[in-house]
Amino acid sequence: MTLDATAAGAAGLSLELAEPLPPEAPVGSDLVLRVRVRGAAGDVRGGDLRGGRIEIVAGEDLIAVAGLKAFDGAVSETAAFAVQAPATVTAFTWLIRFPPQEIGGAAYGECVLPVASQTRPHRTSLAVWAVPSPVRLAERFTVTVGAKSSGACALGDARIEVRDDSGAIAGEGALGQTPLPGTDALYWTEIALAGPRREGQQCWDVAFAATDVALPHLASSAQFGFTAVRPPEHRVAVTVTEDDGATAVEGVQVALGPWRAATGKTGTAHIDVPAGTYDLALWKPGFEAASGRVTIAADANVQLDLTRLPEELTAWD
Amino acid sequence: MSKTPVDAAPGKGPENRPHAAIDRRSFLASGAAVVAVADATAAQAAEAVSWDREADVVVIGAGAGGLVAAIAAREKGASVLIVEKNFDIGGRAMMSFGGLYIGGGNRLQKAKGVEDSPDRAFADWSRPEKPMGRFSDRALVRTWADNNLDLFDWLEGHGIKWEGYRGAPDRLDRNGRTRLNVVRWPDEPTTPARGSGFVRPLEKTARQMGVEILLQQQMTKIYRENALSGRITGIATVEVDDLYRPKTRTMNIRARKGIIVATGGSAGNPVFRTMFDVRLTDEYQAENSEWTERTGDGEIAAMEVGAALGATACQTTQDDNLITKGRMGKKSNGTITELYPTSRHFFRARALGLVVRDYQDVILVKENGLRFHDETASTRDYEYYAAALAWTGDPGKMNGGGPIWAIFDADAVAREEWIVKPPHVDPDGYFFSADTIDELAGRIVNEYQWRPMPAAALRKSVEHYNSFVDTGVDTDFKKPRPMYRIARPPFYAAWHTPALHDSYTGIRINTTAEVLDLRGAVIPGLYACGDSAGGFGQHGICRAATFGRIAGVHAAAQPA
Repeated sequence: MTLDATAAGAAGLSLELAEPLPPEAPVGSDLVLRVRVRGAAGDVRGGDLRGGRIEIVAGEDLIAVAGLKAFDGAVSETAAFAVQAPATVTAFTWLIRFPPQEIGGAAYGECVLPVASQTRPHRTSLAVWAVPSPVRLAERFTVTVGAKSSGACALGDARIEVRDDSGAIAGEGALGQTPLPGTDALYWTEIALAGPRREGQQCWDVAFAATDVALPHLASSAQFGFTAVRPPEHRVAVTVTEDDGATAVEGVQVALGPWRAATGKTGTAHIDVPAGTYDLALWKPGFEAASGRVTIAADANVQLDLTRLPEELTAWD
Repeated sequence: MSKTPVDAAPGKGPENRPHAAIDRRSFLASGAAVVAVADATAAQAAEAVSWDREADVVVIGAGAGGLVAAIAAREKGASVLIVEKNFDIGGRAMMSFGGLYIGGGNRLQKAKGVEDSPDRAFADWSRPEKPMGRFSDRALVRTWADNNLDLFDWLEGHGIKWEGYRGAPDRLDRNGRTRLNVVRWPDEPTTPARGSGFVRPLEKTARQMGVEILLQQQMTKIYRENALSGRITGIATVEVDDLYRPKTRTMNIRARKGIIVATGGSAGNPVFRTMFDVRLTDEYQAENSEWTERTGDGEIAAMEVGAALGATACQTTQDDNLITKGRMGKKSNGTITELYPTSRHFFRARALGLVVRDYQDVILVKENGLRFHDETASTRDYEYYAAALAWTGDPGKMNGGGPIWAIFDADAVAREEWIVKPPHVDPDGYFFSADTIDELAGRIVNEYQWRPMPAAALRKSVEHYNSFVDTGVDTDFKKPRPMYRIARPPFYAAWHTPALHDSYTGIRINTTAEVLDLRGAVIPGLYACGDSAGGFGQHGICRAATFGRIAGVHAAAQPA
């Protein structure tokens, strides 16, 4: 069926859509229609059908009514009006109907134009944040998960499931009733999770089946990673100075294995770790990145120098 | 072509050479020689143009070079007219940091105990071991160095106030000897950049001296007596609106003595700049284009009457800030200087843009949603630009690398203290936000994004990067210890495509700023300076001022 085809009625009228229906539309979404009617040759009103009425019929149901408001000398037209697509995934046909009616004393017969399209489910997508790292072995922890419907549909109470890297369910939760502040419609929840059962880098899965949402939605999934560690045993004080060996550098990001801290005013960051050998990395904009390896067997003080980048590598002028 | 004292200089003792490189006598001799070659046929051709205005010297462009040239010519008694296509003066210099490389042993340097001389300045700025110094025309570098002291005094005499020497090594400066910044014009309502401290005092001086400045006049043609021979006789202009669209009113302006091209270079012209680097297609924006387009108008008009280009290798040294990482979140993203939102020019900028303080806060992806380099690369890292400008699969566009997008999250916004709404960012194609990474990819709609960004690719890039934050190692691009996940909604995509900074090639000039043709001969009556002139790959205002002043003095000395 040609979606924007015109249909001639008994009175010689013809109907058309200003814009054809999209071939596919999300379930329950608003489809915007503008209906045009062209009068028959010799029409007593010169084709001016303003004041006339247009109906949209789905099956047995009248689902929308619009008035013909504009006339350009040949064609009468409704204003744009929205009609909601079916709430299920289906092919559908609507009848655009000019019912028999009297306009300005002239009688007009019926004219009908069928138009067709089909619905598809909304998509979903996920965000996972506030993931702690590192996480202590066997200790429960929480992550925050948000889900978004491509139609910005309400997703409150929908279930989220988290599985560990063995595929076992580590936790589940239900999305809250209000979107996260600052987002359009991201429904979210904190999920308490069983602690990791092995040491090292982990990659866990989050699944949103979206089967418990009012309108049809596609499922989505996401991954998040973290590092599982043994409890700390030793305190390491990392002190960062400029390459004069004396001037403390504040605000340096210090990474010792998976642990992180920033240096304070005295140029020192404290990090608690179990015994072991770790990569140590320093980062501060405007300085050369520095890294090395340290072995921690007891409480320790580590001092490192950072070299300022030459100004010509940082200045833009 | 006559020899100036500067041309003859290298044979003299290095520390004992005279600093007064502008020698009026030699200019007059040069001008006389030029007139002798003009023939009667050429003079007749010139008669064919109907002139609406005339002046001894006509300057095209009211930026650093043009204003200096105009004042210099006026001081020598010439009547001077400047045409400028913007609705305000200032050109490229207005939004600059107001830096000049100027030394030679002046008062400020002596007060700081800095040892300098024209020879030292010359040696610094022609350093062969640095690409930035390797390809410059050393006769022009020498001329610049020899004019430093005299120009310093001249600029002070015309109201320029100095903030001071930078001190740290800067570009080819070995010891921070020659990088001097001006003081911002105190009442400048348009931009906090220092450059106003150079162009506003000169504008004031020029107007007081009777230099006429015609704004919103776009030069469209340079007239020469014959197509490729004879004297330059004038220019054609068309009045333009605020978006440089031509109106109907045109003018022919006769220049009795000379025309000085000071149009600011070609960084904003994709056709012109891709002659030198074919990768620099139209997605790359010229910085400060909200003030001045720099579309190579002067170069093209001069080439149409026979001009050659000079020292084109300076344009592809892969050194200095020929390309910059730039601001983000706005189209004209090429600089860290900005306009006030209340500025009359702000409609061209549309946003202030965001500056990334710490590149640990973002990942940079191409149009395909994939990372391509360590984001912490210096703004002078040409391996970064090589990756950014590499082809990613657009079958309709084989050159250029397409848009680069900075992807970041709400935590990065908090760490950087960015304000992610107008006027700081431009949501009309250059800044997007979404609740999830998948949605963010779908929202990116931009005139240079040839296809929708694949959402799965962007999500994978972010998840992969987040895993590097956990493991501490970026196995893809070796970013130093990735520090922050991109995880907390909302998420953002900001235009972060490289931007173009200077033009280091342009019209070929000699040491008296006269334009040379393809056979090496002077084009009588045609001068060029600033970023429009080729030959000296030095960033900043001093190159423009040096050759602008030489051009103005030389042109004024020509017979009418």
